[in-house]
Amino acid sequence: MASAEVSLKIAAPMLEVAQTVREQGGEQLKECYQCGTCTAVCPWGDLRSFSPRRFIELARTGLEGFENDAWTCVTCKRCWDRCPQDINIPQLFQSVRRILLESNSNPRTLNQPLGSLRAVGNPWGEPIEKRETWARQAEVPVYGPGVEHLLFTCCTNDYDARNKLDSRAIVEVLRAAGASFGHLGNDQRCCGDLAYTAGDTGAFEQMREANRATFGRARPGSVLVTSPHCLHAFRNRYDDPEGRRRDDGNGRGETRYRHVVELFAEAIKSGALRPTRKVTRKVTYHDPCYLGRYNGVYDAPREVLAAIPGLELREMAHHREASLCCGGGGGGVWVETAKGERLGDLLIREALAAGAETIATACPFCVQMLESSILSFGLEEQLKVATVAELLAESLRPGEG
Amino acid sequence: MSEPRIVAFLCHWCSYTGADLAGTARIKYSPNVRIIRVMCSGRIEPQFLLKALREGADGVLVCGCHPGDCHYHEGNYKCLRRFLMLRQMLGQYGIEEGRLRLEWVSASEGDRFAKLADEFTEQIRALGPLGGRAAFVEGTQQGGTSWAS
Amino acid sequence: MTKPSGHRIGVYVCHCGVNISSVVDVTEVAAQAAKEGDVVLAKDYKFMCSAPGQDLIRADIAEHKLDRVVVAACSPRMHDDTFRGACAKAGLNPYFSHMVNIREQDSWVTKDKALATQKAVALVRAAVRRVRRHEPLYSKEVDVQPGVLVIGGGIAGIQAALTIADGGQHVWLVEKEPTIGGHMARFDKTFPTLDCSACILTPKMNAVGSHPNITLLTSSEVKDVSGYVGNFRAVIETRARYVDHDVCNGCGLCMEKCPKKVPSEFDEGLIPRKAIYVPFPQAVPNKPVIDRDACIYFQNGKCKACEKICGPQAIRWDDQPKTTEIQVGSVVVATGFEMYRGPALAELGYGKYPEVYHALEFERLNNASGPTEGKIAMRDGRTPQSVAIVHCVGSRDKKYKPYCSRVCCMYSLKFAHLIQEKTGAEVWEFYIDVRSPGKAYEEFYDRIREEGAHLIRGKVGQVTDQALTDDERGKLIVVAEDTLAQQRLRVPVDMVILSPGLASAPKSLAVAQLLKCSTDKDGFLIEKHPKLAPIETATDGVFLAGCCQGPKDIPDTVAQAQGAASLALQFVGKGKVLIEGRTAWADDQLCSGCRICNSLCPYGAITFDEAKKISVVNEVLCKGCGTCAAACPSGAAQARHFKDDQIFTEIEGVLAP
Repeated sequence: MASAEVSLKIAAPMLEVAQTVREQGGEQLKECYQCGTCTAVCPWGDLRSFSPRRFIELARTGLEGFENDAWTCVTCKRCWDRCPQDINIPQLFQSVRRILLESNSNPRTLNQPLGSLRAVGNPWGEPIEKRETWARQAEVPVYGPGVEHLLFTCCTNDYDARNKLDSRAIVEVLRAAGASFGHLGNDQRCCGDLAYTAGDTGAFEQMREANRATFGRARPGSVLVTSPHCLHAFRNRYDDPEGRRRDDGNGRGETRYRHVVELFAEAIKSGALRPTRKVTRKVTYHDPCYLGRYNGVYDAPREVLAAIPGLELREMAHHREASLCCGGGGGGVWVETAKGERLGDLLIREALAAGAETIATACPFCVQMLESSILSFGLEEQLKVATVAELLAESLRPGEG
Repeated sequence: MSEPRIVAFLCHWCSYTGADLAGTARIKYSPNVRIIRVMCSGRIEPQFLLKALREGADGVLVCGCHPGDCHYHEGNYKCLRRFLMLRQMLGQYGIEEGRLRLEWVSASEGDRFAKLADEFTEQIRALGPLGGRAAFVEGTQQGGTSWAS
Repeated sequence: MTKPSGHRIGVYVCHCGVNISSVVDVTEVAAQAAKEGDVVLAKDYKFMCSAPGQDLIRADIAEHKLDRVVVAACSPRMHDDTFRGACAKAGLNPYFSHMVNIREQDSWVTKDKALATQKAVALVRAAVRRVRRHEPLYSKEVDVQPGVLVIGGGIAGIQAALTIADGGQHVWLVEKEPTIGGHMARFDKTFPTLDCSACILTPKMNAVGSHPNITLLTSSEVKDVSGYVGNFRAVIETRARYVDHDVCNGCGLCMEKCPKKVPSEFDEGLIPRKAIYVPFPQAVPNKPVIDRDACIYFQNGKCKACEKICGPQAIRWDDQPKTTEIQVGSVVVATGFEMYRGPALAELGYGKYPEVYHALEFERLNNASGPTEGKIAMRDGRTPQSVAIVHCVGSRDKKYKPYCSRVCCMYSLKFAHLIQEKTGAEVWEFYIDVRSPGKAYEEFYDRIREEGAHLIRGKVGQVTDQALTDDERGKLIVVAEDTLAQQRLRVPVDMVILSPGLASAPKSLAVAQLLKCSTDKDGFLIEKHPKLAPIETATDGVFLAGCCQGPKDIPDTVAQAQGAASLALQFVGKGKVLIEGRTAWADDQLCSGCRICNSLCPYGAITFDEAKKISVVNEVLCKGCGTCAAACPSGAAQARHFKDDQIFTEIEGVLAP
């Protein structure tokens, strides 16, 4: 018996870690039957050697080596959607990351954004009081009684110069639709979604509590978000931190959380929005993982694009449920990846193959990741990135296109 | 009494077989539920439920075959009619609707039965002991006023 | 504790090996039972259902003059009859025994030992109180009708029908398609022997067609089943065929002349058939029917090409659906399966890429009488140089079919052999685990490996035409992880074959409801006991054959069909069946003649005696559901063995402090 014990220790040096992983929400590890579907559908497959299946096997047997792959997953959910055992594989990565973060075994590049979250409520290290600068300039009213929609903008939409263009376009479209909406000004904090998937549950909870308190005061009936990550956090993580699948189209309680494109699509259907100016461009649409796969919003952005005169929509080889990933999720936006090895690079290739001049999307991270891929290849002239809101705003402006 | 006491009436063909399946599959559930077998849920008359409440049950669960699956064609529909009538009547006497529950459980739904048993036990635990409110039936005093849990 | 009634009750608590005793304190249960009034003895024993266990009861009845017996053991569904039998052998009325379920509904479902014991004590107490109120009941013997109804004309139904017919009983074989043969008729070779499917099946089909004891009803469905055990009345509807099969000589000229083509269901739409057609050349009956939805005449009133050419004048434009009513003693359900055709196929490019086929399409492609006369070819006629075969499509998948279908590994290996033999193509098989439990199956697996097929352990994640290299251009690329080599593979191939599992046939559900049989969560019919009664059902006289009960291969299907046939023969051959004494009766002294029960009875077993102005129960028709007893306002209608006072004492017992 003694020898068996010894050999077990040698065979599984990280058995305790494996147990902790299970206790920390990774109990689905046990259900994996090692078919490798996850590896086959993982978007990393065509770029680098990465096997979620192997990660699961190592993590559950307590064998060394799984730490090396722990930060690769971008939580795009292609694996979970296709897993025959219905295992929430991104959640397994989250569980392992949580443990590794506790022992400071995380990529250094994560320290800055996660630290910023705790200090100033956004991952970009920007001062709190500058959050509302763009909104003031755009004369967005402050949310209060009598206002229908609370516009909750992603930190990236509030601080980043490129993404502020998207913010302004969103405001433009909402105004054109005659919507009643307001902004929280400097009171809002990051939704915490990326902190959560990157394994920093503490930072996530801090953000969640701050926003819950704000929502508690504001009591909005409708929240419009600009990022699919905010949408997912509010709809699923604020009530169920394990992120298990739930049919919950309208979120919990009386607040309805929607991405702005969902409202745009409705406004077009009802006739409140009438895009008339031609936007003569070949456009392909990239489904953000957290809008499409996680929240099932595939049709609304396409309906908006289809309503823009002159715009020719061309689908990439991978779209809707099968769409690729920009690489920004799960904290990927904060991790350095070399040129030519980025997930965004695959998307660029598919977009060009589809004959597109513009990749449309609906997520601030996708915008950042895709533009940096385009830049790294010097393709700025051939391929542009625009959000659905930006294209729609263009088509709503007076004059011929 | 410190635990909810629950009587369950199960039809032989679907629900009792389903409860057996929970056992065969070794699915653990609340031991508070005491099962009484009848051939068909159509046999279950309001008096059975009243009797159970009078004898000290805090909740009564009734299970039959899914609509369309009744071994005796439509006994489950007859059960449903009687059940709804009784529950409404008891409500007028101040007995909460939540103390009586009717569910369809098929012969293949062992896991569902186990879940139902657990769920119903918690439902009754939340309602608290029926206590003196059973007195309307026969002037008996029952139990305390809270669970010692 | 209740007042003694003068009864002498024996209580037996079974250990069931350790199944009960490892959780429930059986000695404590017996000790508590002994304290109940009238309990003369209370014992615990290792295996009550064993011969010594039953002997114990018999000896105690004789020695201690027991008049009631309570056995706390497994489910009464398992052993009620066993202990009733033990009582009967000792001269006690069998209904003086009662079983308490402390295994399935206690020891197996309760974690806490003390609580499990407490529950057992309460249940035994209830039984002791109940059994005092038991009354002697007597079984009745009724006649069993001759004849058997077999539903479904695949290999299961064919085999069952032949066995029963050879055994001397008349069989009505009902098949919804225009021909019998089922799925097996569509295969070319069968694993692992590679027998020609048609060679072994068609003689049986012909035997059915010509057997004097078999009435074959094709294009037909069972619409209603009524009656009672051993006396089933079935209503069968035959669709209009528009061809009089008594007149038609099967020359086939009409099919040649018919100008209208529609996709052939039998050939999975790979080739067309005519609007007047037989599904395949060896069909039984080998006479055509007209597909009304496709026929030009029925659409616009013109054509009649078939009628003009028909020598014997067999076309009947005014043909109507026909209803046949039959009386039988027993029913064999052989409604088969449907291949899984859900979204898991589209996930792997089916419907998007023409060179992705599913297994049944490949079976036809490979079949000598199929669309290519057995030549394995791509849609453009080329012979594939490389083929990927994908196991477990929609199988072992919690989103689709969670179970293993048992046959897909083997038929996929068969495909590998046939492809290599006929085309010499490279074959790549992608599997999760290869399951080959069957006679000569593992040897077949060995053989395929030796023949050089590439067997890759990894489930395919995607099939795509997006080439990354020149080698991949113009091919379908199959992406999977070789989990043994720990490498992600992209395999370019010419053809992909998806191997889906077996799903329940949608028609099974309707048939199950007609016969009051249950179906499981996957839609398969539930057998009476998974191990010891795998052919019987909860409905006496109804038996299962083949895949309607669960996925199985041909040998198992044939074996089960012969088993079902034997049971049906036994059931019908005996000519008599015992009906349990557990029926309803109406007390003529209490009945007020309100007639509420008359209309409630689902079997019309209660009639009104106009002379006495009271309701009367026909105990042969009564099945003992007790609905009348529940509804009777005067307490006249009573359900034997489930009488009010019996249930009341049981309620008191489970709740007694």
